[in-house]
Amino acid sequence: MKNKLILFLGLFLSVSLAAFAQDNISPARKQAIDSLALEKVKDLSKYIAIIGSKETQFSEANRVMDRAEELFAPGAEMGVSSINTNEIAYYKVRNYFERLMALNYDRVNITWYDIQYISDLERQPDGRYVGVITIYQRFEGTSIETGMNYRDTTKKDITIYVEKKQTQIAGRTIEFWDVMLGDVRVTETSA
Amino acid sequence: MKQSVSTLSVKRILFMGIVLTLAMGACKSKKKAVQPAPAPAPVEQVVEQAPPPPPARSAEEIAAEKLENSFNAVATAASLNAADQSIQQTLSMFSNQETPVLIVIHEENGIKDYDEPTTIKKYLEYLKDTKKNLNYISDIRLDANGKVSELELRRK
Repeated sequence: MKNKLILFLGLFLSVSLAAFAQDNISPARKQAIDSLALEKVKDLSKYIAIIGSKETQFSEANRVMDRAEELFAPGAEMGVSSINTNEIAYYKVRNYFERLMALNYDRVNITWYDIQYISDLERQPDGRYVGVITIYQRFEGTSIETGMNYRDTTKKDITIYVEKKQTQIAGRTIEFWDVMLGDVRVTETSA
Repeated sequence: MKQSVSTLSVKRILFMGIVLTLAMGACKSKKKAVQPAPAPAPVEQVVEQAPPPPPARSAEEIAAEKLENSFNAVATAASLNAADQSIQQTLSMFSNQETPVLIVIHEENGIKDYDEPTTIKKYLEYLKDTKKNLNYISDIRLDANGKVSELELRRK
């Protein structure tokens, strides 16, 4: 009985130590992962500006859509709001990009600013890190013929998932941090 | 008369002695005048040596420098066409468009943390789209044809 108790305690300690070792990421390393995820959101802002711009050729916009879509977790949705309605519509990201490209304006200018964490990346029981980054989006659409101008500023929250994965490169196993963007939720809309 | 002769010879000898002395003195001073100046203290001669030639750069170093310039050219291209031209030129330096590109975001105790691996084509398009060149080349491998077969980058 005593031996079994010692064995159980030993096992418990091993599991606890293993879990602690995984959790024990140095501040510098954590900072690098935080920056990596933040950079992905900044990349998305560049892609959205290219897709939305009327100066972008169709083939180029489609190529950039592929790159932008790769940033998201499967099934992720993007919220869309308007100052003309209280409703917020949610679209799968690919659908959102296609609608953005097809907007009926002659000129579209989209900029993201104040991109920052509102909830730090925290390790979850499943080993993934989850956090939330907030952005402000300024949208300006101009129609020359009708003289219609639409402008709004939207605050959006993006859920971030970071997970350690492995891949084979030239016969070597490479461990990397996979950053995936989740749903993009609209939290505020103003003129 | 005999006395006067001896006196005369004494005077003559004395005179000749004086003349000889003076002549010797003159000779001596003349000798001193033509004596060469003392040899100058030896001055350490500084021989300007040509700087040693820089060690021959490896093919990898040359390729890395060329690639750094190409990455900057793509990221700062003034137009889409210019960026595309730079991309095509850069791709010709690689084994193929799918050549892997690894990006080290952090290294601690010899353990490297990577971003998701990508390919050179996607990386060049990334530079074109985002217009930012955040990484430098930390490792480069060439194949037998001198083309880049693997690239490791690191955050600046």
